[in-house]
Amino acid sequence: MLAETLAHSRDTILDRWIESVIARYPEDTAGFLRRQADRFANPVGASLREGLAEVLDGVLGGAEPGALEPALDRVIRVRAVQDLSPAAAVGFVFELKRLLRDGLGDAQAGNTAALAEIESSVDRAALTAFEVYMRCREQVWAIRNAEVKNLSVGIMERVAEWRARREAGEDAPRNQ
Amino acid sequence: MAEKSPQELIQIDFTPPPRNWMNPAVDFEARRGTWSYPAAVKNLDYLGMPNPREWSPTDLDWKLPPNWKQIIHDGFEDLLKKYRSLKIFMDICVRCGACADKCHFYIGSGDPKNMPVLRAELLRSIYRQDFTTMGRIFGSLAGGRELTEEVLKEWYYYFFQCTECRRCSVYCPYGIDTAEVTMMARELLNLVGLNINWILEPVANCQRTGNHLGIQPHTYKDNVEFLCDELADVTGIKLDPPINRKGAEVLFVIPSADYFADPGTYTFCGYLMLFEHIGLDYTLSSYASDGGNFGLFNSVENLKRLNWKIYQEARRLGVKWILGGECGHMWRVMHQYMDTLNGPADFLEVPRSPFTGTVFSNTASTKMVHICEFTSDLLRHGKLKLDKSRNDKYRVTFHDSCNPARAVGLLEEPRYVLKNVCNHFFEMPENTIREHTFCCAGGAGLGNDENMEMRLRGGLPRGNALRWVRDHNDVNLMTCICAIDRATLPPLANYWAPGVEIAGIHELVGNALIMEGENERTTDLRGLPLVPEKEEQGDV
Repeated sequence: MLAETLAHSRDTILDRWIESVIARYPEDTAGFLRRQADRFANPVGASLREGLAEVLDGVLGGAEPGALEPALDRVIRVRAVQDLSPAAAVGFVFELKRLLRDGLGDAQAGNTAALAEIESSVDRAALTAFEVYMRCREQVWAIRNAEVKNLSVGIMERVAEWRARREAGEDAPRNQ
Repeated sequence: MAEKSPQELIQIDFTPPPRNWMNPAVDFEARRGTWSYPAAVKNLDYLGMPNPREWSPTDLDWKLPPNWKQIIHDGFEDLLKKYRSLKIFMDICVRCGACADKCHFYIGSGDPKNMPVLRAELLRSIYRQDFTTMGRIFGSLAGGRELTEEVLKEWYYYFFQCTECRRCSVYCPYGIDTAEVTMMARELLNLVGLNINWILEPVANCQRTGNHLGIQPHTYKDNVEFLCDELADVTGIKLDPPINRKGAEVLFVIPSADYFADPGTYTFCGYLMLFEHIGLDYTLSSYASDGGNFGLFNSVENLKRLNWKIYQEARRLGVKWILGGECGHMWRVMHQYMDTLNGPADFLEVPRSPFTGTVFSNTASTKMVHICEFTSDLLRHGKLKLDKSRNDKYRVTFHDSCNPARAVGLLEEPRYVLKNVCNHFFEMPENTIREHTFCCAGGAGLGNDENMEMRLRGGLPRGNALRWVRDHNDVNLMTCICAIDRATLPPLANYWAPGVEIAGIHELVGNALIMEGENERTTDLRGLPLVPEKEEQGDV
């Protein structure tokens, strides 16, 4: 019963969810994110449309939290490098609870247990979202660190190694 | 609150309050990761540029000269007199918005001031206020704005968030070259000592030693020899490329990253193999040891100085013409600025390929041929012996580097070369390649590590298209013809499309070339197996 009602209003819930995320961007940008349908001209909009649809279907279909990771990654990888606080970057997941209740309307009554179950899966998705966010942030720092190291150290080590070999009269093979 | 029903409670308006774009405040502390460190005192001193001092954008006091406002005003006036283009670009924009959503930084960040029109408006508003009658009289009603210290700080933030890639210009119905707007803004910022170290250090180094990295001749030679040692391991042939040899037919000029940073070093080996293969009479130079010209990202004066050294070296060595490697902005400089800066290079000859007889009349003024033009001409005439299958482990796509694509129109030659040296080539989506190509987000001096968040934001459109071909065509290698790309695309791919490596085109040429007297090739130029072992497949 509950699942059927939610399945029926799935598209509305999804639209509202996407809109709730988009509306937090500055006005001009929100208009662009809504309007531009080309996935390559508007990758942020595409990540929301595609990623949130997958997350919603996963939540409604009772997917294991781990299964939502790729879809959450699609959305959060972008938000992790935008000018957003950590709470703002992952907080959109909690928004889904309100939208699900809205989507159920009167059908909430009598379905408390089933609703609580779905809300728990939203909570689990939120925890996964936090993990994805942290992974992305750590990756940004790892990339930055590797940049410094590669630029300054990497090739100099190779040069020094070859200089030593030349001086030792050795013609050593390269195997890296 | 308690009296409100749950329905009322959840009626939240998420729309942020509208913020007037004329408000210039930027919180540098909160936005770490999206701006670059200021130029070091030693570099400004070396170049004789104004206001060298220790400072940070997070400081409240930027230690500007007391009369900074007058300096900027006078400087603006000078530029307007000197460049008619600037005056046109300031006057002509009708704010149609065609460029607004074309900037990779805007697309990735969503920050309206990354829209090219609004970025230019940061400068244009001051122009209106100070230099137009309407602006003088009506001020903000006519789109004018008073020049304050906050406006200057905002310029520093946003004009060092433009990579001068000129994608927006492709869509401008008036043909406004937004990169030149950024260049002019940076000229003004220079006057009061607001510049970034990632640009000024290479400029100072290049002025001193001939290359951005500050490599001196003996180290240059050492490095070239080291790369030849590595290459000998792969091919069994020890090359001995000439350096500073007078009387050679051709001076070969490349970006310094090609002999000092991976993966450019493999491209460098590819060039050397090609020249050996065809027997080109050429020389490298330890003085014209950088085709790259970070002066382009700083000032016309520095741009001219660094371009001049290449031609002086060509004159000193007595070559007939110049061949240029896979560099990006070097070609914007050569194609669009060299002639009026230091040209025409009348002491050189119009380049003619000694192997095919082709005359490169397109370079009649600069006398400098792009290696992709040169190689595709060789291929066209069947002058190269190739084994394409040596690149079979790669499923290749091509990133049009902004400057060769949009400034020079070099769209077909690199593709022609690629299709001749590898069997699996796939294009990224149409609106992300050729003149519509998305920038690497690290050009124009922004490819430093402290700016990494901005680079990743701006890298999203390119990364998104790259991920598409990775997922749909199993692409595992993105090629490009720009040294900045080869430095900035690996982190971009790492974040947005992991599993894709970056390479220059002549690395693949080198892999495919069948050299006379070579050993049986078992590895590519990177020293990795030509055919990945089974357990390693898909992990190249």
